[in-house]
Amino acid sequence: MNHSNRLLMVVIIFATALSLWAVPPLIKMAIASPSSYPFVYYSSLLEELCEIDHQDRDYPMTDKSGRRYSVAQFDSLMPLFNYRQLMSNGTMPDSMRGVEITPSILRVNQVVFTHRPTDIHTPSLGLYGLLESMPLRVGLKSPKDLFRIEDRIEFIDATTNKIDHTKSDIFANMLSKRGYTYPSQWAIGDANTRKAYDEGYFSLDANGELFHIKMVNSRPYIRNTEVAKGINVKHFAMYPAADRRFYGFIFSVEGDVYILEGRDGEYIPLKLDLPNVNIDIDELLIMGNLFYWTVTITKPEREEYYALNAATLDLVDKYQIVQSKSLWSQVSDIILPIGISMSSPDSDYIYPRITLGGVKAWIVSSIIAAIFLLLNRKKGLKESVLKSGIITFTGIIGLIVVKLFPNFK
Amino acid sequence: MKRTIFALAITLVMISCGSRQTKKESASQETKTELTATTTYTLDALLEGAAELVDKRVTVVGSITHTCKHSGRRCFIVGEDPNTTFRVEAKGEIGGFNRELIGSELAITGTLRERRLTKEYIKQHEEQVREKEDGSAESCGAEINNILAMKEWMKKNNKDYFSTYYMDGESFNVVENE
Repeated sequence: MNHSNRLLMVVIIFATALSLWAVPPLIKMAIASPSSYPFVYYSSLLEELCEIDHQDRDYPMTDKSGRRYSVAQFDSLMPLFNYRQLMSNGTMPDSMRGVEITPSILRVNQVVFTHRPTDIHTPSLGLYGLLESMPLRVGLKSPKDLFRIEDRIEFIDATTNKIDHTKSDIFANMLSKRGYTYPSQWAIGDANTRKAYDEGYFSLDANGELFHIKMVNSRPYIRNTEVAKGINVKHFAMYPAADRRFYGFIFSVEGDVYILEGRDGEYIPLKLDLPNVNIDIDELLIMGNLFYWTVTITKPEREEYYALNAATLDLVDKYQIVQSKSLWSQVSDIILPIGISMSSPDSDYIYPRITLGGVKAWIVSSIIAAIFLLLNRKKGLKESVLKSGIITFTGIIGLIVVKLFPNFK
Repeated sequence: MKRTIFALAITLVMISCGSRQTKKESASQETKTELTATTTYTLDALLEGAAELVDKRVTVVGSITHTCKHSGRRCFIVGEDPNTTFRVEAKGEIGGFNRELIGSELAITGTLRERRLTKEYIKQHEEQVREKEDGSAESCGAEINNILAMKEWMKKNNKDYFSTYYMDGESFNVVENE
Protein backbone atom coordinates (compact mmCIF):
# COMPACT_ATOMS: atom_id res chain seq x y z
CA MET A 1 0.00 0.00 0.00
CA ASN A 2 1.55 3.26 -1.12
CA HIS A 3 1.43 6.56 0.74
CA SER A 4 -1.54 8.03 -1.16
CA ASN A 5 -3.53 4.83 -0.63
CA ARG A 6 -2.77 4.94 3.10
CA LEU A 7 -4.01 8.50 3.21
CA LEU A 8 -7.10 7.54 1.26
CA MET A 9 -7.77 4.71 3.70
CA VAL A 10 -7.68 7.17 6.61
CA VAL A 11 -10.06 9.42 4.70
CA ILE A 12 -12.39 6.48 4.01
CA ILE A 13 -12.41 5.39 7.66
CA PHE A 14 -13.09 8.96 8.73
CA ALA A 15 -15.80 9.40 6.07
CA THR A 16 -17.43 6.10 7.09
CA ALA A 17 -17.46 7.06 10.77
CA LEU A 18 -18.80 10.49 9.92
CA SER A 19 -21.53 9.00 7.73
CA LEU A 20 -22.47 6.46 10.41
CA TRP A 21 -22.91 9.36 12.82
CA ALA A 22 -24.59 11.88 10.47
CA VAL A 23 -26.69 9.90 8.01
CA PRO A 24 -28.99 7.89 10.38
CA PRO A 25 -30.35 11.04 12.10
CA LEU A 26 -31.13 12.50 8.66
CA ILE A 27 -33.03 9.37 7.63
CA LYS A 28 -34.76 9.37 11.02
CA MET A 29 -35.77 13.00 10.58
CA ALA A 30 -37.21 12.21 7.17
CA ILE A 31 -39.32 9.21 8.16
CA ALA A 32 -39.94 9.53 11.91
CA SER A 33 -43.49 10.00 13.11
CA PRO A 34 -44.31 11.30 16.59
CA SER A 35 -45.30 8.65 19.08
CA SER A 36 -46.25 8.96 22.71
CA TYR A 37 -47.91 6.99 25.45
CA PRO A 38 -51.19 8.05 27.02
CA PHE A 39 -51.27 9.34 30.58
CA VAL A 40 -52.47 6.62 32.95
CA TYR A 41 -53.81 7.17 36.48
CA TYR A 42 -55.55 4.96 39.02
CA SER A 43 -59.20 5.77 39.66
CA SER A 44 -59.92 5.34 43.35
CA LEU A 45 -63.63 4.94 42.58
CA LEU A 46 -63.47 2.52 39.64
CA GLU A 47 -60.51 0.88 41.36
CA GLU A 48 -58.57 0.38 38.14
CA LEU A 49 -55.96 2.11 36.02
CA CYS A 50 -57.45 4.30 33.29
CA GLU A 51 -56.02 6.12 30.30
CA ILE A 52 -56.44 9.88 30.13
CA ASP A 53 -56.23 11.73 26.84
CA HIS A 54 -56.52 15.47 27.51
CA GLN A 55 -56.71 16.17 23.79
CA ASP A 56 -60.06 14.41 23.63
CA ARG A 57 -62.27 17.18 24.93
CA ASP A 58 -65.46 15.11 25.06
CA TYR A 59 -64.33 11.73 26.36
CA PRO A 60 -60.90 12.13 27.96
CA MET A 61 -60.97 8.98 30.09
CA THR A 62 -60.97 5.34 29.00
CA ASP A 63 -60.95 2.36 31.34
CA LYS A 64 -59.10 -0.89 30.75
CA SER A 65 -62.11 -2.49 29.05
CA GLY A 66 -62.28 0.39 26.55
CA ARG A 67 -65.32 2.16 28.06
CA ARG A 68 -65.07 5.91 27.55
CA TYR A 69 -66.10 8.59 30.04
CA SER A 70 -67.16 12.19 29.59
CA VAL A 71 -65.36 15.12 31.19
CA ALA A 72 -67.85 15.32 34.09
CA GLN A 73 -67.55 11.56 34.67
CA PHE A 74 -63.76 11.81 34.52
CA ASP A 75 -63.80 14.55 37.19
CA SER A 76 -66.03 12.49 39.48
CA LEU A 77 -64.30 9.15 38.95
CA MET A 78 -60.87 10.62 39.72
CA PRO A 79 -61.74 13.01 42.56
CA LEU A 80 -58.23 12.99 44.03
CA PHE A 81 -56.72 13.90 40.66
CA ASN A 82 -59.35 16.53 39.80
CA TYR A 83 -60.00 17.91 43.27
CA ARG A 84 -59.37 21.52 42.29
CA GLN A 85 -62.04 21.27 39.60
CA LEU A 86 -64.47 19.52 41.97
CA MET A 87 -63.80 22.14 44.67
CA SER A 88 -64.51 24.87 42.15
CA ASN A 89 -67.75 23.11 41.12
CA GLY A 90 -68.67 22.58 44.76
CA THR A 91 -68.99 18.86 44.16
CA MET A 92 -65.95 17.58 46.06
CA PRO A 93 -66.96 14.89 48.56
CA ASP A 94 -66.15 15.83 52.17
CA SER A 95 -64.91 12.33 52.89
CA MET A 96 -63.83 9.19 51.09
CA ARG A 97 -63.45 5.71 52.53
CA GLY A 98 -64.24 7.20 55.93
CA VAL A 99 -61.38 9.69 55.69
CA GLU A 100 -61.96 13.42 55.83
CA ILE A 101 -61.06 15.20 52.61
CA THR A 102 -59.85 18.79 52.60
CA PRO A 103 -57.60 20.53 50.08
CA SER A 104 -54.78 20.72 52.63
CA ILE A 105 -55.04 17.00 53.47
CA LEU A 106 -54.94 16.20 49.76
CA ARG A 107 -51.99 18.50 49.13
CA VAL A 108 -49.99 17.11 52.03
CA ASN A 109 -50.47 13.55 50.79
CA GLN A 110 -49.57 14.30 47.19
CA VAL A 111 -46.43 12.70 45.79
CA VAL A 112 -44.96 13.62 42.42
CA PHE A 113 -41.57 12.10 41.72
CA THR A 114 -39.73 11.56 38.47
CA HIS A 115 -36.53 9.72 37.71
CA ARG A 116 -34.74 9.94 34.39
CA PRO A 117 -31.54 8.06 33.54
CA THR A 118 -29.92 11.45 32.94
CA ASP A 119 -30.39 12.16 36.66
CA ILE A 120 -27.57 9.74 37.39
CA HIS A 121 -25.57 9.92 34.16
CA THR A 122 -24.64 13.54 34.48
CA PRO A 123 -21.41 15.33 35.39
CA SER A 124 -21.04 16.23 39.05
CA LEU A 125 -18.59 18.72 40.55
CA GLY A 126 -18.41 16.75 43.77
CA LEU A 127 -19.02 19.91 45.77
CA TYR A 128 -22.16 20.19 47.82
CA GLY A 129 -23.87 22.86 49.91
CA LEU A 130 -24.93 21.75 53.37
CA LEU A 131 -27.79 23.85 54.71
CA GLU A 132 -28.60 24.44 58.36
CA SER A 133 -31.62 22.16 58.78
CA MET A 134 -32.94 23.94 61.86
CA PRO A 135 -32.26 27.63 61.20
CA LEU A 136 -32.90 30.13 63.98
CA ARG A 137 -34.67 32.41 61.56
CA VAL A 138 -37.50 31.40 59.25
CA GLY A 139 -36.41 30.06 55.87
CA LEU A 140 -33.43 28.09 54.67
CA LYS A 141 -30.28 29.98 53.73
CA SER A 142 -27.54 29.06 51.28
CA PRO A 143 -24.35 28.18 53.13
CA LYS A 144 -21.17 30.21 52.70
CA ASP A 145 -19.16 27.06 52.19
CA LEU A 146 -19.29 23.87 50.17
CA PHE A 147 -18.18 20.44 51.18
CA ARG A 148 -16.55 17.57 49.35
CA ILE A 149 -16.44 14.01 50.57
CA GLU A 150 -13.98 11.60 49.04
CA ASP A 151 -11.17 10.37 51.28
CA ARG A 152 -12.28 12.80 53.97
CA ILE A 153 -15.00 15.40 54.40
CA GLU A 154 -13.79 18.95 53.83
CA PHE A 155 -15.63 22.24 53.97
CA ILE A 156 -14.33 24.93 51.65
CA ASP A 157 -15.11 28.60 52.05
CA ALA A 158 -16.79 29.65 48.82
CA THR A 159 -15.27 33.14 48.80
CA THR A 160 -11.66 32.38 49.78
CA ASN A 161 -11.43 28.77 48.51
CA LYS A 162 -9.73 27.89 51.80
CA ILE A 163 -10.54 24.80 53.79
CA ASP A 164 -12.39 25.45 57.03
CA HIS A 165 -10.33 23.05 59.14
CA THR A 166 -12.37 23.52 62.32
CA LYS A 167 -15.71 22.63 60.70
CA SER A 168 -14.11 19.90 58.60
CA ASP A 169 -12.59 18.30 61.72
CA ILE A 170 -15.89 18.42 63.61
CA PHE A 171 -17.74 16.66 60.79
CA ALA A 172 -14.87 14.26 60.04
CA ASN A 173 -14.66 13.23 63.70
CA MET A 174 -18.39 12.64 63.87
CA LEU A 175 -18.32 10.61 60.65
CA SER A 176 -15.57 8.36 61.96
CA LYS A 177 -17.35 8.08 65.31
CA ARG A 178 -20.45 6.87 63.47
CA GLY A 179 -18.40 4.33 61.51
CA TYR A 180 -18.26 5.97 58.09
CA THR A 181 -15.64 4.29 55.89
CA TYR A 182 -13.80 6.23 53.19
CA PRO A 183 -13.58 6.62 50.27
CA SER A 184 -17.11 7.84 49.86
CA GLN A 185 -19.04 6.44 46.90
CA TRP A 186 -21.46 9.34 46.60
CA ALA A 187 -23.45 11.96 48.47
CA ILE A 188 -26.91 12.94 47.32
CA GLY A 189 -28.98 15.79 48.66
CA ASP A 190 -30.86 18.88 47.69
CA ALA A 191 -29.19 22.21 48.45
CA ASN A 192 -32.16 24.14 47.10
CA THR A 193 -33.36 26.68 49.67
CA ARG A 194 -36.81 27.04 48.14
CA LYS A 195 -38.28 24.07 49.93
CA ALA A 196 -40.24 23.61 53.13
CA TYR A 197 -37.50 21.84 55.07
CA ASP A 198 -34.04 20.38 54.70
CA GLU A 199 -32.83 16.85 55.28
CA GLY A 200 -29.19 17.28 54.28
CA TYR A 201 -27.53 14.47 52.38
CA PHE A 202 -27.52 10.71 52.16
CA SER A 203 -24.11 9.27 51.47
CA LEU A 204 -22.92 5.79 50.59
CA ASP A 205 -19.61 4.87 52.20
CA ALA A 206 -16.97 2.47 50.90
CA ASN A 207 -18.72 -0.48 52.58
CA GLY A 208 -22.07 0.27 50.97
CA GLU A 209 -23.56 1.67 54.20
CA LEU A 210 -26.03 4.51 53.72
CA PHE A 211 -25.46 7.45 56.08
CA HIS A 212 -27.63 10.45 56.77
CA ILE A 213 -25.57 13.64 57.04
CA LYS A 214 -27.04 16.97 57.99
CA MET A 215 -26.26 20.06 60.00
CA VAL A 216 -28.59 20.72 62.90
CA ASN A 217 -28.09 23.75 65.17
CA SER A 218 -24.65 24.28 63.56
CA ARG A 219 -23.56 20.79 64.61
CA PRO A 220 -23.21 17.60 62.60
CA TYR A 221 -26.05 15.11 62.70
CA ILE A 222 -24.73 11.87 61.25
CA ARG A 223 -26.34 8.48 61.51
CA ASN A 224 -26.02 5.15 59.78
CA THR A 225 -29.46 4.36 58.40
CA GLU A 226 -28.64 0.63 58.74
CA VAL A 227 -30.58 -0.07 55.53
CA ALA A 228 -27.51 -1.76 54.03
CA LYS A 229 -28.29 -4.76 56.24
CA GLY A 230 -31.07 -5.70 53.81
CA ILE A 231 -30.53 -3.57 50.73
CA ASN A 232 -27.66 -3.38 48.29
CA VAL A 233 -27.98 0.37 47.74
CA LYS A 234 -27.21 1.70 44.27
CA HIS A 235 -28.78 5.15 44.20
CA PHE A 236 -30.78 7.48 46.40
CA ALA A 237 -33.12 10.27 45.34
CA MET A 238 -34.05 12.87 47.92
CA TYR A 239 -37.74 13.74 48.03
CA PRO A 240 -39.18 16.56 50.17
CA ALA A 241 -42.46 14.82 51.06
CA ALA A 242 -45.00 17.37 52.24
CA ASP A 243 -46.16 15.08 55.06
CA ARG A 244 -42.52 14.24 55.94
CA ARG A 245 -43.39 10.58 55.79
CA PHE A 246 -40.18 9.65 54.01
CA TYR A 247 -36.79 11.07 53.09
CA GLY A 248 -36.57 9.80 49.54
CA PHE A 249 -36.29 6.80 47.25
CA ILE A 250 -33.69 4.06 47.48
CA PHE A 251 -32.83 2.12 44.33
CA SER A 252 -31.08 -1.19 44.87
CA VAL A 253 -28.50 -2.85 42.64
CA GLU A 254 -31.08 -5.59 41.97
CA GLY A 255 -33.61 -3.04 40.68
CA ASP A 256 -35.91 -2.81 43.69
CA VAL A 257 -37.35 0.55 44.69
CA TYR A 258 -37.95 1.58 48.31
CA ILE A 259 -38.98 4.67 50.18
CA LEU A 260 -36.95 5.48 53.28
CA GLU A 261 -39.41 6.32 56.00
CA GLY A 262 -38.61 8.18 59.20
CA ARG A 263 -40.52 6.66 62.10
CA ASP A 264 -39.83 7.59 65.72
CA GLY A 265 -36.22 8.39 65.01
CA GLU A 266 -35.61 5.21 63.01
CA TYR A 267 -34.97 4.76 59.30
CA ILE A 268 -37.38 2.21 57.87
CA PRO A 269 -37.19 1.18 54.20
CA LEU A 270 -40.54 0.22 52.64
CA LYS A 271 -40.44 -1.62 49.32
CA LEU A 272 -42.66 -0.56 46.44
CA ASP A 273 -44.41 -3.65 45.09
CA LEU A 274 -42.96 -3.25 41.60
CA PRO A 275 -40.95 -5.41 39.20
CA ASN A 276 -37.29 -4.54 38.83
CA VAL A 277 -36.49 -1.10 37.49
CA ASN A 278 -33.28 -0.45 35.58
CA ILE A 279 -32.59 3.15 36.52
CA ASP A 280 -29.81 3.35 33.92
CA ILE A 281 -32.34 3.18 31.08
CA ASP A 282 -35.87 3.24 32.56
CA GLU A 283 -37.80 6.39 33.39
CA LEU A 284 -39.99 6.46 36.46
CA LEU A 285 -42.95 8.66 37.30
CA ILE A 286 -44.75 8.35 40.62
CA MET A 287 -47.96 10.26 41.21
CA GLY A 288 -49.42 9.57 44.61
CA ASN A 289 -52.49 10.71 46.45
CA LEU A 290 -54.07 10.02 49.82
CA PHE A 291 -55.06 6.45 48.89
CA TYR A 292 -53.07 5.25 45.89
CA TRP A 293 -49.80 5.79 44.09
CA THR A 294 -49.71 5.42 40.30
CA VAL A 295 -46.27 4.37 39.08
CA THR A 296 -45.31 4.64 35.41
CA ILE A 297 -42.17 2.87 34.24
CA THR A 298 -41.10 3.83 30.74
CA LYS A 299 -38.86 1.24 29.14
CA PRO A 300 -37.36 1.50 25.65
CA GLU A 301 -40.02 -0.75 24.15
CA ARG A 302 -43.07 -0.33 26.42
CA GLU A 303 -44.64 1.57 29.25
CA GLU A 304 -45.78 -0.21 32.40
CA TYR A 305 -48.27 1.15 34.91
CA TYR A 306 -48.75 0.03 38.50
CA ALA A 307 -51.17 1.17 41.17
CA LEU A 308 -50.02 0.78 44.76
CA ASN A 309 -51.81 1.18 48.05
CA ALA A 310 -50.45 4.47 49.44
CA ALA A 311 -50.07 3.16 52.99
CA THR A 312 -48.56 -0.28 52.37
CA LEU A 313 -47.22 0.26 48.82
CA ASP A 314 -48.70 -3.13 47.88
CA LEU A 315 -49.72 -3.67 44.26
CA VAL A 316 -53.42 -3.22 43.54
CA ASP A 317 -53.52 -3.03 39.74
CA LYS A 318 -51.20 -3.13 36.74
CA TYR A 319 -51.35 -2.39 33.04
CA GLN A 320 -48.95 -2.00 30.15
CA ILE A 321 -48.81 -0.54 26.68
CA VAL A 322 -46.34 -1.96 24.16
CA GLN A 323 -45.24 0.57 21.61
CA SER A 324 -45.57 -0.65 18.02
CA LYS A 325 -42.27 -0.31 16.19
CA SER A 326 -41.86 3.01 14.43
CA LEU A 327 -40.93 3.13 10.75
CA TRP A 328 -37.48 4.39 11.72
CA SER A 329 -36.98 1.44 14.06
CA GLN A 330 -38.00 -1.00 11.37
CA VAL A 331 -35.71 0.63 8.79
CA SER A 332 -32.72 0.93 11.13
CA ASP A 333 -33.14 -2.72 12.14
CA ILE A 334 -32.46 -3.60 8.49
CA ILE A 335 -29.94 -1.07 7.23
CA LEU A 336 -27.72 -0.32 10.23
CA PRO A 337 -25.45 -3.16 11.44
CA ILE A 338 -23.50 -0.58 13.36
CA GLY A 339 -24.15 2.97 14.46
CA ILE A 340 -22.16 5.80 15.97
CA SER A 341 -23.65 8.52 18.12
CA MET A 342 -22.15 11.20 20.31
CA SER A 343 -25.09 11.60 22.65
CA SER A 344 -27.65 9.40 24.31
CA PRO A 345 -31.14 10.14 25.65
CA ASP A 346 -30.09 8.35 28.86
CA SER A 347 -26.99 10.41 29.53
CA ASP A 348 -25.73 13.98 29.64
CA TYR A 349 -22.21 12.88 28.70
CA ILE A 350 -20.98 13.52 25.15
CA TYR A 351 -18.65 10.89 23.74
CA PRO A 352 -18.66 8.49 20.77
CA ARG A 353 -20.88 5.48 21.35
CA ILE A 354 -20.89 2.48 19.04
CA THR A 355 -24.16 0.57 18.88
CA LEU A 356 -24.49 -2.80 17.24
CA GLY A 357 -27.56 -3.53 15.14
CA GLY A 358 -29.65 -6.66 15.15
CA VAL A 359 -29.22 -9.92 13.26
CA LYS A 360 -31.37 -8.67 10.37
CA ALA A 361 -29.05 -5.74 9.71
CA TRP A 362 -25.99 -7.99 9.73
CA ILE A 363 -27.65 -10.44 7.30
CA VAL A 364 -28.64 -7.60 4.96
CA SER A 365 -25.18 -6.00 5.05
CA SER A 366 -23.55 -9.40 4.44
CA ILE A 367 -25.79 -9.97 1.41
CA ILE A 368 -24.94 -6.49 0.03
CA ALA A 369 -21.23 -7.18 0.62
CA ALA A 370 -21.48 -10.57 -1.11
CA ILE A 371 -23.22 -9.03 -4.13
CA PHE A 372 -20.58 -6.29 -4.23
CA LEU A 373 -17.83 -8.87 -4.14
CA LEU A 374 -19.49 -10.86 -6.89
CA LEU A 375 -19.88 -7.86 -9.17
CA ASN A 376 -16.40 -6.46 -8.54
CA ARG A 377 -14.31 -9.62 -8.37
CA LYS A 378 -12.68 -8.87 -11.74
CA LYS A 379 -11.37 -5.48 -10.50
CA GLY A 380 -8.97 -7.19 -8.13
CA LEU A 381 -9.82 -9.73 -5.45
CA LYS A 382 -7.85 -8.09 -2.64
CA GLU A 383 -9.44 -4.68 -3.26
CA SER A 384 -12.95 -6.15 -3.56
CA VAL A 385 -12.59 -8.21 -0.35
CA LEU A 386 -11.44 -5.15 1.56
CA LYS A 387 -14.33 -3.06 0.27
CA SER A 388 -16.90 -5.78 0.86
CA GLY A 389 -15.49 -6.11 4.40
CA ILE A 390 -16.22 -2.42 4.96
CA ILE A 391 -19.74 -2.93 3.60
CA THR A 392 -20.32 -5.96 5.86
CA PHE A 393 -19.55 -3.91 8.95
CA THR A 394 -21.23 -0.70 7.95
CA GLY A 395 -24.07 -1.72 5.62
CA ILE A 396 -25.52 0.64 3.07
CA ILE A 397 -23.55 3.56 4.51
CA GLY A 398 -20.33 1.67 3.82
CA LEU A 399 -21.50 0.97 0.29
CA ILE A 400 -22.09 4.69 -0.31
CA VAL A 401 -18.61 5.54 1.02
CA VAL A 402 -16.95 2.84 -1.10
CA LYS A 403 -18.76 4.17 -4.16
CA LEU A 404 -17.65 7.71 -3.31
CA PHE A 405 -14.01 6.61 -3.37
CA PRO A 406 -13.75 4.26 -6.39
CA ASN A 407 -9.98 4.76 -6.72
CA PHE A 408 -9.16 3.28 -3.37
CA LYS A 409 -7.09 0.11 -3.86
CA MET B 1 12.29 66.12 81.48
CA LYS B 2 9.49 66.59 78.91
CA ARG B 3 10.42 63.26 77.37
CA THR B 4 10.27 61.54 80.77
CA ILE B 5 6.79 62.96 81.48
CA PHE B 6 5.61 61.93 77.99
CA ALA B 7 6.94 58.35 78.46
CA LEU B 8 5.32 58.16 81.89
CA ALA B 9 2.00 59.32 80.43
CA ILE B 10 2.13 56.65 77.69
CA THR B 11 3.02 53.98 80.24
CA LEU B 12 0.06 55.03 82.43
CA VAL B 13 -2.32 54.94 79.43
CA MET B 14 -1.05 51.48 78.48
CA ILE B 15 -1.42 50.17 82.02
CA SER B 16 -4.92 51.64 82.23
CA CYS B 17 -5.90 50.04 78.85
CA GLY B 18 -4.37 46.77 79.93
CA SER B 19 -6.25 46.70 83.21
CA ARG B 20 -9.52 47.61 81.42
CA GLN B 21 -8.96 44.74 79.04
CA THR B 22 -8.22 42.39 81.94
CA LYS B 23 -11.46 43.53 83.61
CA LYS B 24 -13.35 42.93 80.38
CA GLU B 25 -11.80 39.47 80.02
CA SER B 26 -12.61 38.52 83.58
CA ALA B 27 -16.16 39.81 83.16
CA SER B 28 -16.59 37.75 80.03
CA GLN B 29 -15.12 34.77 81.85
CA GLU B 30 -17.66 35.24 84.64
CA THR B 31 -20.50 35.42 82.16
CA LYS B 32 -19.19 32.29 80.51
CA THR B 33 -19.00 30.51 83.85
CA GLU B 34 -22.50 31.65 84.66
CA LEU B 35 -23.72 30.39 81.30
CA THR B 36 -22.12 27.01 81.54
CA ALA B 37 -22.54 26.09 85.19
CA THR B 38 -26.06 24.87 85.76
CA THR B 39 -27.35 22.17 88.02
CA THR B 40 -28.36 19.03 86.17
CA TYR B 41 -31.61 17.33 87.13
CA THR B 42 -33.41 14.28 85.96
CA LEU B 43 -36.89 15.23 84.79
CA ASP B 44 -38.52 13.67 87.84
CA ALA B 45 -36.19 15.56 90.20
CA LEU B 46 -36.74 18.80 88.33
CA LEU B 47 -40.51 18.54 88.52
CA GLU B 48 -40.33 17.69 92.19
CA GLY B 49 -38.56 20.97 93.02
CA ALA B 50 -39.98 22.95 90.10
CA ALA B 51 -41.68 25.62 92.20
CA GLU B 52 -38.32 26.80 93.55
CA LEU B 53 -36.56 26.65 90.18
CA VAL B 54 -38.95 28.78 88.12
CA ASP B 55 -37.09 31.32 85.95
CA LYS B 56 -33.75 29.71 86.85
CA ARG B 57 -31.29 28.20 84.38
CA VAL B 58 -31.11 24.47 84.80
CA THR B 59 -30.14 21.39 82.82
CA VAL B 60 -32.65 18.59 82.52
CA VAL B 61 -32.01 15.10 81.24
CA GLY B 62 -34.80 13.18 79.59
CA SER B 63 -35.72 11.08 76.58
CA ILE B 64 -37.44 12.68 73.63
CA THR B 65 -40.85 11.20 72.86
CA HIS B 66 -42.03 13.72 70.32
CA THR B 67 -40.75 16.62 68.25
CA CYS B 68 -42.94 19.11 66.48
CA LYS B 69 -43.11 17.50 63.02
CA HIS B 70 -43.11 20.60 60.88
CA SER B 71 -41.11 23.29 62.61
CA GLY B 72 -39.16 21.25 65.17
CA ARG B 73 -39.52 24.26 67.48
CA ARG B 74 -40.82 22.15 70.36
CA CYS B 75 -40.14 18.75 71.83
CA PHE B 76 -41.47 16.63 74.65
CA ILE B 77 -39.31 14.61 77.00
CA VAL B 78 -40.04 11.99 79.62
CA GLY B 79 -38.11 10.80 82.64
CA GLU B 80 -38.59 7.63 84.68
CA ASP B 81 -42.35 8.03 84.62
CA PRO B 82 -43.46 7.64 80.98
CA ASN B 83 -46.82 9.26 81.77
CA THR B 84 -45.27 12.59 82.72
CA THR B 85 -44.14 14.60 79.72
CA PHE B 86 -42.33 17.90 79.76
CA ARG B 87 -42.37 20.48 76.98
CA VAL B 88 -39.20 22.19 75.81
CA GLU B 89 -39.35 25.17 73.48
CA ALA B 90 -36.50 25.79 71.04
CA LYS B 91 -34.95 29.10 72.04
CA GLY B 92 -31.41 30.46 72.35
CA GLU B 93 -28.95 28.50 70.24
CA ILE B 94 -31.55 25.87 69.38
CA GLY B 95 -33.01 26.31 65.92
CA GLY B 96 -35.13 23.22 66.41
CA PHE B 97 -35.27 19.58 67.42
CA ASN B 98 -34.87 17.28 64.44
CA ARG B 99 -37.24 14.35 64.24
CA GLU B 100 -34.45 11.78 64.35
CA LEU B 101 -33.86 12.73 67.99
CA ILE B 102 -36.99 10.84 69.06
CA GLY B 103 -35.84 8.10 71.41
CA SER B 104 -32.54 9.84 72.20
CA GLU B 105 -31.61 10.99 75.67
CA LEU B 106 -30.88 14.70 75.78
CA ALA B 107 -29.34 17.04 78.34
CA ILE B 108 -31.12 20.32 77.69
CA THR B 109 -30.06 23.58 79.30
CA GLY B 110 -32.57 26.37 79.54
CA THR B 111 -34.80 28.40 81.77
CA LEU B 112 -37.63 26.71 83.63
CA ARG B 113 -40.94 28.46 83.11
CA GLU B 114 -44.22 28.19 84.89
CA ARG B 115 -47.67 28.53 83.47
CA ARG B 116 -50.41 29.09 86.01
CA LEU B 117 -53.89 27.84 85.25
CA THR B 118 -56.18 29.95 87.39
CA LYS B 119 -59.13 28.58 89.35
CA GLU B 120 -61.50 30.49 87.04
CA TYR B 121 -59.89 29.09 83.93
CA ILE B 122 -60.08 25.54 85.25
CA LYS B 123 -63.73 26.04 86.20
CA GLN B 124 -64.57 27.39 82.75
CA HIS B 125 -62.75 24.51 81.12
CA GLU B 126 -64.61 22.00 83.29
CA GLU B 127 -67.93 23.49 82.22
CA GLN B 128 -66.97 23.22 78.57
CA VAL B 129 -65.88 19.60 78.96
CA ARG B 130 -69.06 18.67 80.85
CA GLU B 131 -71.18 20.32 78.13
CA LYS B 132 -69.59 18.07 75.49
CA GLU B 133 -69.85 14.96 77.65
CA ASP B 134 -72.35 12.48 76.25
CA GLY B 135 -71.08 9.45 78.07
CA SER B 136 -69.46 7.99 74.98
CA ALA B 137 -66.11 9.68 74.73
CA GLU B 138 -63.36 8.21 76.85
CA SER B 139 -61.23 11.31 76.36
CA CYS B 140 -63.81 13.43 78.14
CA GLY B 141 -63.59 11.11 81.12
CA ALA B 142 -59.82 11.48 81.12
CA GLU B 143 -60.09 15.25 80.86
CA ILE B 144 -62.53 15.42 83.75
CA ASN B 145 -60.19 13.25 85.80
CA ASN B 146 -57.35 15.67 85.01
CA ILE B 147 -59.45 18.63 86.07
CA LEU B 148 -60.46 16.89 89.28
CA ALA B 149 -56.82 16.09 90.03
CA MET B 150 -55.92 19.77 89.52
CA LYS B 151 -58.70 20.87 91.85
CA GLU B 152 -57.62 18.32 94.42
CA TRP B 153 -54.04 19.62 94.25
CA MET B 154 -55.15 23.24 94.64
CA LYS B 155 -57.26 22.32 97.67
CA LYS B 156 -54.48 20.30 99.23
CA ASN B 157 -51.85 23.00 98.69
CA ASN B 158 -54.19 25.85 99.46
CA LYS B 159 -53.59 27.55 96.09
CA ASP B 160 -55.96 29.26 93.69
CA TYR B 161 -53.99 28.15 90.64
CA PHE B 162 -52.48 25.00 89.18
CA SER B 163 -48.92 25.18 87.89
CA THR B 164 -47.63 23.55 84.76
CA TYR B 165 -43.95 23.75 83.87
CA TYR B 166 -42.03 23.92 80.62
CA MET B 167 -38.58 25.01 79.55
CA ASP B 168 -37.24 27.64 77.20
CA GLY B 169 -34.34 25.56 75.93
CA GLU B 170 -31.09 27.31 75.05
CA SER B 171 -28.80 24.45 74.09
CA PHE B 172 -28.73 20.69 74.23
CA ASN B 173 -26.43 17.72 73.97
CA VAL B 174 -27.26 14.17 73.08
CA VAL B 175 -26.32 11.88 75.96
CA GLU B 176 -24.45 9.04 74.36
CA ASN B 177 -24.15 5.80 76.26
CA GLU B 178 -21.04 4.11 74.93
